[in-house]
Amino acid sequence: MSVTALSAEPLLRRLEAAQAPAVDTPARTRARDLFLRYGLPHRKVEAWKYTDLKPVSEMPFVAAVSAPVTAADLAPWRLADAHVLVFIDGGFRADLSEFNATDGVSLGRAAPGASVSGEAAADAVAALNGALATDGALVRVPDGVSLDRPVQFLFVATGGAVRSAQVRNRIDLGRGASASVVETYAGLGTEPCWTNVVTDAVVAPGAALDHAILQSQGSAAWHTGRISARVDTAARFSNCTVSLGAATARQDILVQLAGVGAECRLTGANLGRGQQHLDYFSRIDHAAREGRSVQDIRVAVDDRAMSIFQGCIAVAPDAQKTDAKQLCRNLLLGERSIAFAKPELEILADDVKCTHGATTGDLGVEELFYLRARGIGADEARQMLVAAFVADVLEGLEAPVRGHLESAVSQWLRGAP
Amino acid sequence: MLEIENLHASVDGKEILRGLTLNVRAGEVHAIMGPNGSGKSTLSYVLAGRDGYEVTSGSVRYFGKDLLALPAEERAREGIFLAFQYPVEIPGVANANFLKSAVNAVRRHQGVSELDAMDFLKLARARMKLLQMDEKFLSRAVNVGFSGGEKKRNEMFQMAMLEPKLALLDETDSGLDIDALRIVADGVNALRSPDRGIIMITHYQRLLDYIVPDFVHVLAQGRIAKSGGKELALELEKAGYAGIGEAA
Ligand SMILES: Nc1ncnc2c1ncn2[C@@H]1O[C@H](COP(=O)(O)OP(=O)(O)O)[C@@H](O)[C@H]1O
Ligand SMILES: [Mg+2]
Repeated sequence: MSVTALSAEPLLRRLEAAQAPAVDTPARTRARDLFLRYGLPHRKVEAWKYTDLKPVSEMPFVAAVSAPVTAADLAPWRLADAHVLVFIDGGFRADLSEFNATDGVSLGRAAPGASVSGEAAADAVAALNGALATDGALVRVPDGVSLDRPVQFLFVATGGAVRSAQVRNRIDLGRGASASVVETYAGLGTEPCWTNVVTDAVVAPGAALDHAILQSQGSAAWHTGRISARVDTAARFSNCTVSLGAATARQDILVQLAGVGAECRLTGANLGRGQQHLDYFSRIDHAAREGRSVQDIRVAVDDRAMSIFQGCIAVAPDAQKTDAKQLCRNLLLGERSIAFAKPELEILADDVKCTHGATTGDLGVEELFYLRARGIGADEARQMLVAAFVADVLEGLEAPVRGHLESAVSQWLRGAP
Repeated sequence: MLEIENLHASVDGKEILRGLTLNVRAGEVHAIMGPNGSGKSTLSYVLAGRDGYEVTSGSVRYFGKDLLALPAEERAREGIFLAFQYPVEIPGVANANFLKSAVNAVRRHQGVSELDAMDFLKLARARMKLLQMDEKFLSRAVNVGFSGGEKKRNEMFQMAMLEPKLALLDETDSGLDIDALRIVADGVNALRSPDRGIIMITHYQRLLDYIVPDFVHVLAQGRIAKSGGKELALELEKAGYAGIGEAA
């Protein structure tokens, strides 16, 4: 048993003491055992090499009533013309939510105690979530139904105390169904806090799920998120993750292209400044024939911020005719900013097309001069060029979701956290 | 309006301008001609304030003020416009957004109220019409995928929108067919006025058939080697630049 595993139990106890009791289920017990076996991943765990969660294990979590939140507090984050499920400090709030499900669609709270995917040390954070989560959002769309409006899961962390929010979401699309879901994580407080979320998505044959994440937590927050999506025959999954908040944020995107001709498109942006640490980890498993995946990640880091991109593409022996493209472009805005890009290909089939690339650079001096020569100030010129650099990954998103992410990006460009 | 006095400038430690002196008064059109590599673009970049172009001695006064002390954006806001020999492509930035930001940056500086989206569009459409430019260029990314001639016309469009006091046209005529040349020349002539100065850098005499200069200068080896009236351009056309640098 490692040193970290020894500290697993006290952390689990403290987190349990600071939240509503979770009813034991077999899945929860398994998750608990898995977490106690490994503890929070240390940096010798390859997938967590760049992100150290030790500060989380030392946070003085308390059970505290949430600060009062009004609809006005949520207005800046709320998606207009959408079904909105609101969670404050991880707890569902019907009074602040607004949704109506028709056509046999289920929207609302997810049943707790879901099972964990994965058995390795790298899965321990998700396992801890499995042991503790008592709340989360649910979207279930029956066969052949297209959801009329996007669904927003709006998670807001309030201030006033050091809290953890363990959240478990579930998205289920039936055969030929389609839906657009955006998860927004925002913070009102300045205290440290930890949000640990797992979203399980199942995309049945012929279904299409457009999924987006906006991570815009408060500047002292720690955020760990994981989405696991199983994409079946001729189904389509897209994810756009924009991560620009929190002190430290780690997002795992795990996609299994399980059926023939399944597709996924992963885009996103890590935007960091100050001392922010933003870690994007993805794994696309091409498990069946004729799968297609496209990944395009943009990174812009300023000051001493650090971004990490780890993107693994695994092609199983019988996943012939796989077509996978991966690109990560990094923009270093500060002399001390750092961006790691670590692509990883595990290709066990012979008839496949896989390309990957990573670039790192700074803003073009030619472009900057051209803008300035027209009277545009240096700061505004830089903002325009960074916005243009990021804009590509938001292209193709549905208008309301795109607007939501765009306005967060332009606020970030103007200097807001 | 512009007094360049014994200007020396280097790029990457290599001296390109070597004692250049030139005066431009309001209302005048000056043509600067000269062989490739003689420093014409370097002069335009130095005046526009590009980083990396180091002035080692001499001075440039613009309306009596030290131009070289101003950053590039301030010079533009004070009315200096450089039409680039090689306009820069900026993927992801729409021509309209770019130009609206530019126009409003200049207007703020002048203490004039900013144009809103409607007024900007109205003005842009009117100016594009003069240059016979398709409106679709407004929504396209700045210069991306434009042909050589379209890029030059886009420069003239920006100039028409920004209404500079001093325009520097760096080989705006190269790469244009005769019809485009005529349109560009009309655009420049429309801008001619008693309180504007224009410096046209060109390789060819043919532009000067359409925009008749008050003065023609030959730049050779980093300095003005010869100056004269518009007839100098014709002479150069016949005799070429041979000998001019050495004679000076
Ligand atoms: N960025 C640069 N770095 C090094 N040398 C340069 C640079 N720009 C121009 N030069 C040199 O300066 C000289 C003048 O160039 P330029 O001003 O472009 O001439 P022109 O416009 O008259 O053709 C040339 O010898 C050219 O090679
Ligand atoms: Mg030149």
